[in-house]
Amino acid sequence: MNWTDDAFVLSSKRYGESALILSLLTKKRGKHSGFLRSINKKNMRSIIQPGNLVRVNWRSRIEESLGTYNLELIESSSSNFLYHPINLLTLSSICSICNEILPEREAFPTIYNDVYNLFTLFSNYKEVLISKYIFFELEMLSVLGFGLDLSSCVVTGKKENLVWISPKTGKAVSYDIGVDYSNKLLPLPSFLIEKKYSSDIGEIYKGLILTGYFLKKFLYKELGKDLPLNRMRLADKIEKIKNYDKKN
Amino acid sequence: MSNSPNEIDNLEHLFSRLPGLGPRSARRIVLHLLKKKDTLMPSLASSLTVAMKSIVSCSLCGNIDIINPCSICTDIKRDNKVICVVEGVTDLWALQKVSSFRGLFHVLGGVLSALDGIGPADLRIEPLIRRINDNKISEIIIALPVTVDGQTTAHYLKEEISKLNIAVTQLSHGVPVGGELDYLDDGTISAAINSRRAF
Repeated sequence: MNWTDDAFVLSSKRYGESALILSLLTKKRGKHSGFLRSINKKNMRSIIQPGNLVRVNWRSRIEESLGTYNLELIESSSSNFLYHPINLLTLSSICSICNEILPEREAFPTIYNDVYNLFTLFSNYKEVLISKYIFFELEMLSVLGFGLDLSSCVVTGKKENLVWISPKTGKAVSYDIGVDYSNKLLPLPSFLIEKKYSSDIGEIYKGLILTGYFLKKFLYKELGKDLPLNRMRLADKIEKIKNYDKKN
Repeated sequence: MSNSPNEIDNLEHLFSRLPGLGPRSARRIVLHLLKKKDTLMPSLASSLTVAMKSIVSCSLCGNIDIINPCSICTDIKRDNKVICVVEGVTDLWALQKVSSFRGLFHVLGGVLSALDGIGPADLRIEPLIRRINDNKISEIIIALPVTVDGQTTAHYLKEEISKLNIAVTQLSHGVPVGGELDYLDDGTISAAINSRRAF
């Protein structure tokens, strides 16, 4: 077996002294793991940084086995993220979520496209990176069968004035219906309904809380895990900025 | 192998567990030691025993030395108001070779890693904060790897240390001495451009 594909590096785990098991998000085959030898070769450590776009060649005697990778760097996307804490936490969160919850060897073209846009067209989305990231989490929930319904109110079917989301069903709730239960509902940021990117920190925080809640409820709880450490730190960091902005 | 006495098997097994050595190279080392049984073996054995008994980890910086606090921490010629934070002892040794830095060190003992489940409590961050508070440190130099995990740790440290109102600096990233631009990866070139300075 032998194929070549484009892929993003998700994570790596050392195996012995000069090899590791690499986890990639490939374009045609989804999340895929393989064996990488000679990691002490010049430049190899910089190539296998999470978020980098690589051309990968996979070889194996049989389809089911782990197989061996050969890598060539296409774009060192991770370097764009290293120098800003929020960008770096966003990159780590994307890699951790893809690595932990996507099933192996199953293609998800929309997820790959989202990751491609986030990582390689970073400069286009610099100002609205986290809102784009929230859309990525929504897409992740959707492709894995837990999509949120933000189109109309779950009770009345009305499409106007949607301000909450039900934590039980993941469906939108309008102001008139939810006003008496607002403490039990999750706030729904308007940019998610309008499907526009936002740089409003308060709205972004609401978005992170919303997607984080459903990722945990539908996916991470099943795995017996908590949200990735960096994803939690991202929400904490945004909360701090929101509170700081409020004070000043 | 099965014909060799147990002691030789045991030695081979122990050597093969060292980094960079496999069973064949371990066997070669054992044979070499046996050839120089009277000269090399006793000194190696006594050195190992002495090292095991006397080498300790410095309670202040995490360096390894025969005294605690280590010779770097007790050196009065060093600038004791500047601390350079490194990931491990090998990084400390690399910086120690460079005579241009004459401050103190602090070994973190790793970097934050979501994959390996290494959180702030697993690193020597608390002792660093304590050192800063107790010794009125004026500057912290962060010298952590330029990797996703290394920089995540650097940003975390910066956030924690900034609360203490002291200067936090980081080693610059870019073109290495003797490096040619066409051999460098995109990330290094863009880091070098971003951190350019007046000439």
